[in-house]
Amino acid sequence: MTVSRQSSKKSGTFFKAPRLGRNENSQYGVPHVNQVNSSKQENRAPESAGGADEPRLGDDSQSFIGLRLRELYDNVVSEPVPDRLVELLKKLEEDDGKSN
Amino acid sequence: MAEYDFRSELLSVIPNLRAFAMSLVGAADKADDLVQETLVRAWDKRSSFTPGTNLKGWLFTILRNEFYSQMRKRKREVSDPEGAMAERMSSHPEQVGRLDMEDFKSAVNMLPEDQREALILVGASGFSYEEAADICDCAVGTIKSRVSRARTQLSKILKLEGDGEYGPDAVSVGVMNLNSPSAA
Repeated sequence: MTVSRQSSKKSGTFFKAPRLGRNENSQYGVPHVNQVNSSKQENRAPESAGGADEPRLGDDSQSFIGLRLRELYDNVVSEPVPDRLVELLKKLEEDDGKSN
Repeated sequence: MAEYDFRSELLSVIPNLRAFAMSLVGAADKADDLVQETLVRAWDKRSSFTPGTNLKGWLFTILRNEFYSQMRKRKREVSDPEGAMAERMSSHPEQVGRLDMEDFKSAVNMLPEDQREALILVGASGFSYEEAADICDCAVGTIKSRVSRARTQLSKILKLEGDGEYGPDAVSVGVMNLNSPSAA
């Protein structure tokens, strides 16, 4: 489980700081990893996560999946916003101004 | 003035919308089409948004609704909805122990749609289970279960644990398990 060679790509960010400050108790300092087992306390419903017969994933796997998932996602987040979307917003606003 | 704010607010959520759209459709240009459509809709119905509330969640909901309504239309028009899936699945992880990002990506793409979106929303977009449930219009317990199953499936597909336990055909075992009633 080595660091992806893609991490040198563009953003160079392997893992960004969490966007939400919840789940501070991860023993690996990795957010979002153990949340299946540490979901919001005030909401601990009997339904909880998964079925009773569901094997619990090892912390290593969870941590690996969590990291990779965010890397995958953040690679896209860190891309610049395409011009056509910026232009679209401008146009929507301009059109609005005209019709009012 | 208020409209200017709304525009910059929209702008600030675009990177996240694109990442979520990519996880749904897989191709950059189609993802941007989806984001574009989302922005137009959001602009049209912006009066129904309460400033100060969760704009990101609101936009994700619009994007997701747009995606599924397009899917339904396309399924009527195109008779081969499996095609895209087959293409995705053709590049599943081949080599145990060498997991680069492409392998991981294809493993994520092999997850059923509902599990994948739940996993992305909670595990990558930073939404709480409750917010993800709002976006997907389902119960919190359903989201929790989907995320949990997604993680279990991913772990099986990637052979992260129990080496050899699932035999040489762990991928198809993982896929078959998706339909087992016990996983529901």
